[in-house]
Amino acid sequence: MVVDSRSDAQQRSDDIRVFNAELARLEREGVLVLSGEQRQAINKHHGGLLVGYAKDYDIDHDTRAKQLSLGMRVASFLGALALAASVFFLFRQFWGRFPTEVQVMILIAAALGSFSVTVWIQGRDTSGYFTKLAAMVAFACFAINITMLGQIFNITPSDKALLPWAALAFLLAYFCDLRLLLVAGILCMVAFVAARTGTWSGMYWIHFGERPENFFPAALLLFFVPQWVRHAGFGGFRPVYRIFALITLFLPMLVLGNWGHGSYLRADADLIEGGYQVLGFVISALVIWLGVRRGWGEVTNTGATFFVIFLYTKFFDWWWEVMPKYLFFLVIGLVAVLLLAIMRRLRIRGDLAAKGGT
Amino acid sequence: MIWSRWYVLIAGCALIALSNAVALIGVAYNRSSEPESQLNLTQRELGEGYRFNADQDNSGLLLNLNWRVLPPDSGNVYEYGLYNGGTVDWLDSEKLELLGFDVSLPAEVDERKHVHSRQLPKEVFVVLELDGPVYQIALQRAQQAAERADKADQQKEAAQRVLREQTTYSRLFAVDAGGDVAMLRAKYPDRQRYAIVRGSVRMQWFSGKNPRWGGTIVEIANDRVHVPLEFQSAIQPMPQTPRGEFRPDAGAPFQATVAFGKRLEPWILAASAGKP
Repeated sequence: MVVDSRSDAQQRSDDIRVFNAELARLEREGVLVLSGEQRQAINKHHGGLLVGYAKDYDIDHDTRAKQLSLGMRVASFLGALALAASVFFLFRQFWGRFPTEVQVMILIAAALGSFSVTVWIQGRDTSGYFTKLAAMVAFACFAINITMLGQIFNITPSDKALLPWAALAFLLAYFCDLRLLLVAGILCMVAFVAARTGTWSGMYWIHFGERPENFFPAALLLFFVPQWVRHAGFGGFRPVYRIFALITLFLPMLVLGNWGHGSYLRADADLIEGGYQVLGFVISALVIWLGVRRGWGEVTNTGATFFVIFLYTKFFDWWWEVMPKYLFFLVIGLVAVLLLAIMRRLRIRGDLAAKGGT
Repeated sequence: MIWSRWYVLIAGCALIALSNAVALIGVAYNRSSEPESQLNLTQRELGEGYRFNADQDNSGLLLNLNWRVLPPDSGNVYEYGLYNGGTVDWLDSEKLELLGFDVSLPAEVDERKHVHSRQLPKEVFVVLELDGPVYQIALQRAQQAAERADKADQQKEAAQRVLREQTTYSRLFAVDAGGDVAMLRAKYPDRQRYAIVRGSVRMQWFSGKNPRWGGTIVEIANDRVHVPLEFQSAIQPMPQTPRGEFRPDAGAPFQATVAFGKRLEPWILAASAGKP
């Protein structure tokens, strides 16, 4: 079976391992015993798949390999950050010693060269770790390229610089299957959309953070990207879009729930704060319902996290000053237990409904 | 993978090349034909920002454009003149309305002041005046404060202030703002004394006996100028302490001709060491 990405291959490999473990258990319990022919056919099919995946994607075969892979991922991430910082400080150490023309040529050559090297490495690196390193360095080189051009020629700061950064981050993310660069691209796009929204309301773009509502259009756009754009082979990307969409929606609401003066709305600040607090509760509850209904675990978890944050923020407002501290935390703990009980009840109901359906 | 490796390589390289081309074409446009204005600045108007730990290895030289505003005269002996922003008398209700702010609510209405003062800063064009009438007013104020000082410590402070106004403080003042470059240039035609730059203004409510709407110049968009390699030997700027104060004992006199182009972005045309 053809898979489109390393993550799909790893998932299939993990499924095969789990299948084999459960099959062995069923055989021991005498529930199911395969004939020799069936066992041979399955082993042959699975063996062929695993050999192919190992050759093409360098997947993890067992738990130990998985643990080592996690270590390699961490090392790859830290190494990428360190190399990107090294490139930045290397340039700053020596750039002042070159004429302007040489500075520009170095910046452009570094961006083009690092990107080309990333493409070359991607063709040879089945594990993906070296590709991640190279891609992060390529993105850092391009970000430094544009930033330093701005400094050398005293170019007026503009939100439009976020567009090429986002474009390269997305290109590298989809080409190399890298969620970290997808996040970088998403953050650049969110900042650009928020800045544009602020500009349309008449303010200087650089102050877009002073009106948290500028982030709402970006949140809406992000949430629907996985619906509008096919992501076959990039299954791990859809949750990233949804999680960041919800963060982009809820964080401004949280801010406005405590700082009504930051709203575009022309009303009393206390009224605005109360309104956003209620909205925060309602929307986070709706998000939890949507996540459960659609089977989007990341949506459910993000909604639940912000529901709890909104709730605890309210508790703090009401009781921190008036209650003894031990009582305050006792109430927090009891509410957590109550939420656990409610969610358990919902889960039992869901299980019963599923059994009733079958 | 959706695209082949070749397509990705071409797309990425094209993106990088196009981004750089757009930036460099913009620079070329800014520097094409005659500059919009050209000022002869000295170490008083071009200083170096404080170098944090991470900046110590930075071999490049970026100078800050030190500009000031003339605040309302408080008669205070201890008033210092080093701002890069601030409140000015000429940003009144009429000017703010011209700049696009909503000043419809009377300033006397106290309880809703937050509604209008919550208007965000607007991008405007700011007029910077070099060694002009406003600088002379600042100098006069320092001299008058020195004449009024009657205690020994005040006299010493006032005398130092006069000396600093004459030798150290920037002579570059923000004197006007507007939404149209051509109209501002028509009002301030001397391109060797007045530079028009991009900045932002914030509306504020001032309480007290006479509540009023006023404004603050928040920032100048291009207030840092890169020094190309060929001019670095001539320029030794006054470094800044972490508190933003200058150390005139460090650094040496220099003069630099700074041009402002069609996009109002500055660059250094010439620089030489020594006093003008």
